[in-house]
Amino acid sequence: MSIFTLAAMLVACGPSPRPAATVRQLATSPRDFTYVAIGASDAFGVGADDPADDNWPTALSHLLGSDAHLVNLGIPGETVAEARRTELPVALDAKPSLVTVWLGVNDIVQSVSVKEYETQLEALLRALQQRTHARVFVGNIPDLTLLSFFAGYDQTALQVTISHWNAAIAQAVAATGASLVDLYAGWNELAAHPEYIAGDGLHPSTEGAKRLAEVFFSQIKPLLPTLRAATGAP
Amino acid sequence: MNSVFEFSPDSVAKPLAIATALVALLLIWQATRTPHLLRIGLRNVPRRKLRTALVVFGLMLATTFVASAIAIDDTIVLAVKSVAVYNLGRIDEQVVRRGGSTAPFSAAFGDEVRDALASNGHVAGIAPALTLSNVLVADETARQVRGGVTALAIDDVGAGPLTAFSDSSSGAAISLSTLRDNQILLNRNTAQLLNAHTGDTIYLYSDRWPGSRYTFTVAGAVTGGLLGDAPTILLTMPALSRVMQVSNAVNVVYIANTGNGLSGVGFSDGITDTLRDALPGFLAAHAVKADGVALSLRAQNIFGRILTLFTLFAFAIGLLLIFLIFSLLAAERRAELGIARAVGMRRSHVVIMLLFEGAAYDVAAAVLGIASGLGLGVLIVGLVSPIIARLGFPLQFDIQPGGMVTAFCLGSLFTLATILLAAWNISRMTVASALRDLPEPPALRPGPITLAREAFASLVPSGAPTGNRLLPWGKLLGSTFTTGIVPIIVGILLLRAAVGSFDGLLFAIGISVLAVGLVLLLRWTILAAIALLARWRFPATAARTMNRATERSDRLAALALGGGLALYWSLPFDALQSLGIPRFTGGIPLVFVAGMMMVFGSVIALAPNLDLLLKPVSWLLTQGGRLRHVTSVALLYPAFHRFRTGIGLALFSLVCFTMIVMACIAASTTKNYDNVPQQASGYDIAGQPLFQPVGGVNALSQYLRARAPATFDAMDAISSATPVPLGVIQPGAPDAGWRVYPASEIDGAFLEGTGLPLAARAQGYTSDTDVWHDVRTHPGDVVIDASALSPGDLAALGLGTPAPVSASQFLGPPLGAGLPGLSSLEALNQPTTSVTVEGGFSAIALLASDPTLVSQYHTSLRDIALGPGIIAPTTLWVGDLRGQSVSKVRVIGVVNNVHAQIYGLLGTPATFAPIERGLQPFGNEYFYFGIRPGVDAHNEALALGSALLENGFETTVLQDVLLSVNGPQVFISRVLVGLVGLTLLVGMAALAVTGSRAVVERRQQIGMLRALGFRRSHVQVMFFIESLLIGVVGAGLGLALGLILCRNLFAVDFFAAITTNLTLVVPWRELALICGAAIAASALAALIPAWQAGRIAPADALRYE
Repeated sequence: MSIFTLAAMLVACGPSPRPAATVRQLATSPRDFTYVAIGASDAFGVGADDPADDNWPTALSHLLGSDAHLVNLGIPGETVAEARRTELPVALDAKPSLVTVWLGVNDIVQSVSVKEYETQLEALLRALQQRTHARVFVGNIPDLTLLSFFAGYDQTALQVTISHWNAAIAQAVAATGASLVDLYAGWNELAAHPEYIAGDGLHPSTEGAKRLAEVFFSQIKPLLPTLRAATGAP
Repeated sequence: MNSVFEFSPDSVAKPLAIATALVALLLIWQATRTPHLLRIGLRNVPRRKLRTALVVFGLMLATTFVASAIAIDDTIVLAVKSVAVYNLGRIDEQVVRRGGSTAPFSAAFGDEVRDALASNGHVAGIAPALTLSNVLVADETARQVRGGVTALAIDDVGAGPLTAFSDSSSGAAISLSTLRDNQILLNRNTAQLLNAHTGDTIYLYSDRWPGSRYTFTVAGAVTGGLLGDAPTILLTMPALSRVMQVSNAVNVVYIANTGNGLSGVGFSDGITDTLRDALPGFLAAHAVKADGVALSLRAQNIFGRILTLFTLFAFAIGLLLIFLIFSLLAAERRAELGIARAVGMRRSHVVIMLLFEGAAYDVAAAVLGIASGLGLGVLIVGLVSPIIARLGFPLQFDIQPGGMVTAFCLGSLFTLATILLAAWNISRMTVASALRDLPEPPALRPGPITLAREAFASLVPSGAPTGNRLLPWGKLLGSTFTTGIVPIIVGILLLRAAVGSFDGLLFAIGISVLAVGLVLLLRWTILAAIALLARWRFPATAARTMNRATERSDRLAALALGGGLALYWSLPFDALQSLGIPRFTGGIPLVFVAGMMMVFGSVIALAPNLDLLLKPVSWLLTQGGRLRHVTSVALLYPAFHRFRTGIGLALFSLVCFTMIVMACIAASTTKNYDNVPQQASGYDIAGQPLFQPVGGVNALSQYLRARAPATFDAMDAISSATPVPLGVIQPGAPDAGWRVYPASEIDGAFLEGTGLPLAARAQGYTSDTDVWHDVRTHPGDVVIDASALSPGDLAALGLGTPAPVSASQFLGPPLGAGLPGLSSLEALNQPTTSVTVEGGFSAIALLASDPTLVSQYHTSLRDIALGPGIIAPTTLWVGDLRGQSVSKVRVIGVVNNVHAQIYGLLGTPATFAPIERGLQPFGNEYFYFGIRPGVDAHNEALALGSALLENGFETTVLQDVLLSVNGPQVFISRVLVGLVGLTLLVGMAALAVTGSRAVVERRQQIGMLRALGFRRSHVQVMFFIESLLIGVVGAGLGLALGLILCRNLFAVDFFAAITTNLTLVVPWRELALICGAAIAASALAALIPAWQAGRIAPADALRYE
């Protein structure tokens, strides 16, 4: 035992600090900028080791900085239409500066038509555009053929579906002034990194969530000063 | 496990008995070698009968403490086991489908079980049976309904004790063979709940046969056999087979072991092993009773810890008492012992003589101690049992012989060891001083260098005996202790070992030993320097200077050492954590040693410096005019006889300390467990319609007013609650995300705040009334219970940590969820039928259905507390887990959930209307009734059930179910209160004995004072002041140190490994009573012998032998 350890232990035997006094400072100060994640199970953290802490919006908020206040609205299984009813009202009320939207896989799995999807997504994005001052980043559908969950699907047909849906997403994004995060192109490293996908073959693992956050962040980063300036954050 | 102690008294009985026998043989052998010492020692016993009685009584108290603690332990174990098995009746093992399915299987497997166990002599009965759970029973005659009843049919061939039923009223034996297919038997509890009588018409409903019912007639109410207290009805096998639409099938095989229902658990392993080999793969045998007993005893482990702690302190008090009594005894006979030494008796002879005398007292004291300990145990159990009888489980005083052997041997051995120590200490005397009863002169203490020189010189061969040659080495070794060298080395070694093993106790002891060494080394160094200086500069007065320096350094060393130890051990147990150093492990021994060190450290610091500390008191008292001489003498004696004063002070402090600690623990457990009315939050009856909804509080009130006006008039408050399965998000919280939390639409008296006390209000609200006004009138304003708050917010509000929300609370009503008859567990067990959703919140709904995930994903509101009692109005978004819409609510109040029975986010039906639109009502309506004082809750519960029979209104008297749930804790909490009383009683006796002995041994001094002109009243006042002084200082120390230890215990949630929600309660009134009683007992005990002594003529007193 070193003398330092002993000294530390002796010092540690002093009285423990008392709890803070009567007045508290609430965590979210007006200078923070609010980041809202609209999403599904991946945003909720399904597939991560610790869903509450290892989901990708949380990882992204860490990259954004300590002044980013995250409101993670991810609900497992959500389609865009459902998100409009359960997530959008909360998002609008939160007065966000930054919104990420990544929805679509559940719509594909539940056989929602691409036209219906595009309509719902555009409505969601338009509401965000018209009723908030947020910069909105929309992720498109990554290459699902790389996921074991879709191994039983007709791979050619799936590729066609993905391209149709991504076209719809691009259309909605363009129509509403949002920014597209091209996960299909930007996240093609999935094949080389099987550890990015959880054991269910569908959701991002903890490592995958971190990488996903980095992909979103790479596109958001140049706009961070603008976001902070808009909210008065340093 | 046979004990709730952290050790088993039975397991140590044998080695202790052997050790006691060996010691007894050793004494007998010594007696044969030195019969004259035996005669002299024993001669003192009958010489003064009163003195002997006092000594034996004092010594007896040590054994009394131990014996009563062990007796109470045995009784607690029996009671806990009884409670654990109460619902299992005579069932020891059961064979069911693997995985817990209740699907029927062929009755032929029952025969296989019989065949497999045919040759097992420990099996008393086997009963294949058919069970159907969750049956709804309606008694048309009594107009009562009860859900959650188990229907049971037994094949009684060879069932033995499993079917030994008796009439619950008359006790007459009832045979199943007399039961007809259209009849049912009810167990005692079902009969009481339904108010059923023989001949009543009963209907059975179940979701297995929706839309229809089966009709039976009540054949009687029975108890015994395999029946426990859970609501159960007995049918014939053909009748239940018909109801369940099965043929020649069973779904469980019950097995009863030989013995009395508890003693047979020891055979369970063998029986389940046999069955494991004999049964087909889909069936499994479970030792249900053994598992239940083990689980229940583990749950009561908190009380085991408390009992162990109490016993350890009791031991310490006992030993100190023995030491003090024997020291006083020897001091009284110092002159006599001096004469003995003067006529040639060696020191070892004095020790042996005192040991013989002590052994005589010891045997008598141990026997009497066992008897009185048992008596006190009986007294406590006797006081507690009438209250516990309400719980309906058997309680009887139970003593295991092993426990009593342990108490006897422990009492005898420790008493003897303490007597030996005291005798050795007393025998260190200078004959001349002893003969004249003068203080011992200061001993000449050579320095370590001189001692080392003498030790090495002894190595040179000489004619001296070996013993004499070893003496210098012994002295040298002793000096390494007194100079602090050995303690420093030992302290460092202990610290190294502690850091390696993360042992908190070892670390703290290491620090203490090191501190002792450092203080002693410092003292020795200073004294050596002064000695050198004095010899060099003032050789003529060197001796006087050294005497003064030694006296002052002793005082300072005692102050530094004792004060340091007391302060160090008073630190919180988790003090290391504040620097990020992992928490050291420690248990009951750490707490015990901490307590002892705190007390002894304080006494070491105080006793040698008492004269200085008393100077202001002395000055004050000497202003008293006529009694100035009396007060001077009164304060002189304790300051002069420091060792004796120290022991007396230590005993007094330790007794008070133990009583304070036990009183605080008992008050805390009582507040947390024995608080049934508080847990019911002021309501008396809960009810729920099982057939069709009543339609809310207003509809129910109108109905009662019209149809049952007397019942309506008996009500003080009526509330309703309808659970809502809710997803919640707090957007303002750091890393906000969707979580789940119990929620209910509330109405009636709840909306006035009745039963929902607020612990905090939103900023801007000046009263609870204002909060409830807005909850009632502003849809969207809600309150939430304290369990929904983060630990940081609870601390900021000044609230303790309530028990976290559990699966049984989630989806349950806000009050009393999880209690029998009120739980929504059935819903949780069938999540697909209760929370059936597609998309939307479906995955979050699954969280609510999984007990482990509920605890992980329940809401923890953060950063809402602004200060004690104030929160920021907090926005939440909520959504019904079955729906796809969300709504914004505002939390404006926090409901106190200190008793862990009120859960939920609570608002009006209008608040939840936006998210409930288009959804079927979830779960059930729950109603709560507060009845007027003096009205019988059971009668009103029956009246309510009768009035609302068409709705299938099931009523539950809340106090009954709360008592049955908390039964063991309530029982043991009350035993702890009894233990505090016992400690008070025995502690008083101990202090009275020492108080009176302190006077008796100073009879000669009293004579001297009387001869000098002191009046009898002066002597009494003198002793009164002296006793008062020791009493006040001791009680003050005990109170302060006891509170510090309790604070430390509860601050680190010492009992968290076993239970949560245990917060420190300081019962100030009881503590004042304890301190007052302790001081009064000591002072009064001193006054009586002082009064007697004062009556004796001075000449006689001076001649006292």
